[in-house]
Amino acid sequence: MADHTKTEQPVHRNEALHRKIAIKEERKYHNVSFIMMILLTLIAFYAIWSDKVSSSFAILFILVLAVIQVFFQLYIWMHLSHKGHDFPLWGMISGILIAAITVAGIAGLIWTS
Amino acid sequence: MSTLASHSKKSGLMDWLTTVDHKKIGILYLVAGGLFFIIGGIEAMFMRIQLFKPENDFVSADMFNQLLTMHGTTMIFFAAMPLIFAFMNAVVPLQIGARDVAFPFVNALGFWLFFFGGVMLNASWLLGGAPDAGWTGYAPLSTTSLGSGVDFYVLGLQISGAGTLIGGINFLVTIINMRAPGMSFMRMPLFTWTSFVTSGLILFAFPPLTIGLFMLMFERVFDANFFNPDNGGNILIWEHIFWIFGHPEVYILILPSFGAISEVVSTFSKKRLFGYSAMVFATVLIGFLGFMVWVHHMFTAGLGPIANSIFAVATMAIAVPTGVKIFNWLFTMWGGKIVFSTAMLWAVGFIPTFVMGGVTGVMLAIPSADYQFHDSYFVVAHFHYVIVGGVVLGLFAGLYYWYPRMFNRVLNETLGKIHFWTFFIGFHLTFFPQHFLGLMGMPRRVFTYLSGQDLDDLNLISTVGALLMAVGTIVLFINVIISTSKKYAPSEDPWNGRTLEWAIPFPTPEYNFAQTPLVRGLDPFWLEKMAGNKKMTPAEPVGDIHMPNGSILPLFMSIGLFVAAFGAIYKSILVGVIGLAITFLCMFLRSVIDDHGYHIHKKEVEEDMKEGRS
Repeated sequence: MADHTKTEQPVHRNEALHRKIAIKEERKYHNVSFIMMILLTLIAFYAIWSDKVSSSFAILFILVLAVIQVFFQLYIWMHLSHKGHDFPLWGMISGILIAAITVAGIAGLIWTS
Repeated sequence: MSTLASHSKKSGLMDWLTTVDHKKIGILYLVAGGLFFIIGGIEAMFMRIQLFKPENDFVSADMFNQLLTMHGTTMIFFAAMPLIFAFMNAVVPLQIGARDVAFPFVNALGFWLFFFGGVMLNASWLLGGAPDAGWTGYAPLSTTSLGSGVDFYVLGLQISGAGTLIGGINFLVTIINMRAPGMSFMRMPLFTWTSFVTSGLILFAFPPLTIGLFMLMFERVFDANFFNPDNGGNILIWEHIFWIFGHPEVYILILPSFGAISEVVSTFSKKRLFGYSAMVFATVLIGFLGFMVWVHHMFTAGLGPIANSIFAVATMAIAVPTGVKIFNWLFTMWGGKIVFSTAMLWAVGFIPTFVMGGVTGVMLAIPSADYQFHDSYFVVAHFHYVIVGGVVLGLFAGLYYWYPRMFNRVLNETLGKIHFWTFFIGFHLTFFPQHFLGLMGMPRRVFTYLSGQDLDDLNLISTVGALLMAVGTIVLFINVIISTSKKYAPSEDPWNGRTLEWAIPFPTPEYNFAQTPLVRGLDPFWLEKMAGNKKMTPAEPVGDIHMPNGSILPLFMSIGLFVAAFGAIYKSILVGVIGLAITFLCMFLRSVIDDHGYHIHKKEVEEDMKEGRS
């Protein structure tokens, strides 16, 4: 029994340490993404507001920024990469796939012909 | 059910209006779906009477347009859909070892929204004429249709569509989260699997319908120009949106029928389902492919040879997973100890009938040939072979199979067999000649035809077949009425079942499982029987069981939308506001009133178990 507790305790302490590091890591991600998201929003506003960026480019540009924002939102803030998010992920991927086929299909068949 | 009353029991009608129990909601769906099935059937009979001889004047051309529109819309949205939800409600929670669905309140709301949507649509008969633009509601026919018929179509479908979407989400969450210990995904019975995939299809297919109907409503009410070419719109947009919904919709209907057939074939062959994992894979693949074939409804719209070819190939690809299923059912029966009960008869009748519908489906998927078939009776024959020969035959198999579980009565087998033979022969008599009528050039949706074109005899045969189908349906209703007699109370486990829903005594206790069962493999109840056990091994000790309280709010929420829809049709802001106010008030009440449900105490459960009631 004594042996048992001796071997068990360091493992336990190790785990706690790992968790602490993980939380610290996550906080770092949160901070970085928070600042990044504010920056991206400012850039988007600037792209539209400024006359130096042509509006046709600006529209595409802010759409790209929006996609990046979505990834920040889903992965950093909604923890999509964590365990137990398989079904939401599956649901979203299949939903996006079907929406993409639909939009591409209609757009391709109606506005090109 | 219990002598110790831990909560106030509601009586009769109030109990049904406020219920959130999945078993009772299943019965409500079945009764309401059966009612609309009769209404749709009567409409079909009127059409067949009109067409039994050339130049008949039983109904006018305008009335015929209303009949065909209402027959299609009613049968798809208000008969087939609720009947599928009836079995999903009655069976899925039991098959996965759950005490209820994930959101019982929302389940009730889904039912009432569907029901009032159906009442809304059918109210149009009494209020100046039913919709007459076909169940597909193609623009500009639907946007320019006079009267308010199409408005009833739009709003009725909008309300019931919300209910269906709610139901689909509910079953997705239920199946993902509420499976009993040991019930992994690859141990789920095939009916649960098909219900799962169907719910996923509902989740993705109904939003396009909602948007399409909104656009149509805006065209009609506010003169929007989505589908108006004069102002830069495009009528094809409606066709695309409708079929992006419409094609997955037919798979939404057929998949649960496939599931029911799988359960019935396996049970009455006394064998486990052949190729279970292939069946699951085929189900998922059909669901996935169902979203990329919608253009095959529009081959003649002029989208060009490239678009037509791509969608033709995608359509033919669906024949592969469907063929896998057909062969697996045949192999399940091969070498099995087959019992030809009524449910099994329906399942066996289903297989060749559905294959015939599938074969004409592949024929229609060839664009060059489709230019010949399009909008002819060949198409009518095809989709009746897959929807009646597929969905309805599967539903009848499910009805005879699960009736004891739902109503604590068995249906009479002799009457059941009469029902099967009259309906089955009547069905083929009605629709087989229609293939040839189509090939001979009879267009669909016409109210009459001239004599001397060789169309007379086949149309007469078709009408006689329809009468035979009506006789079969009447026999079913006689059977249902007779079954209320105590004589038909089922013995324990009437079919020697394999899945969890048969591991519970009759009638099903309110809480389904006194103890959540432990699942040790596919066909869990059969495994326990083979191991010499009479009951499932429990996965938990007996304890208090938490139950949700009933609520009248879902009913009133739906009534609110029903009233508001009348405001929208008759352009009365007051009525619209009153209706929406009722709905929002109910939503507000639901949000602020805490309802924690109640507990059935351990003592009552133990007492039930001692007396063999659970």
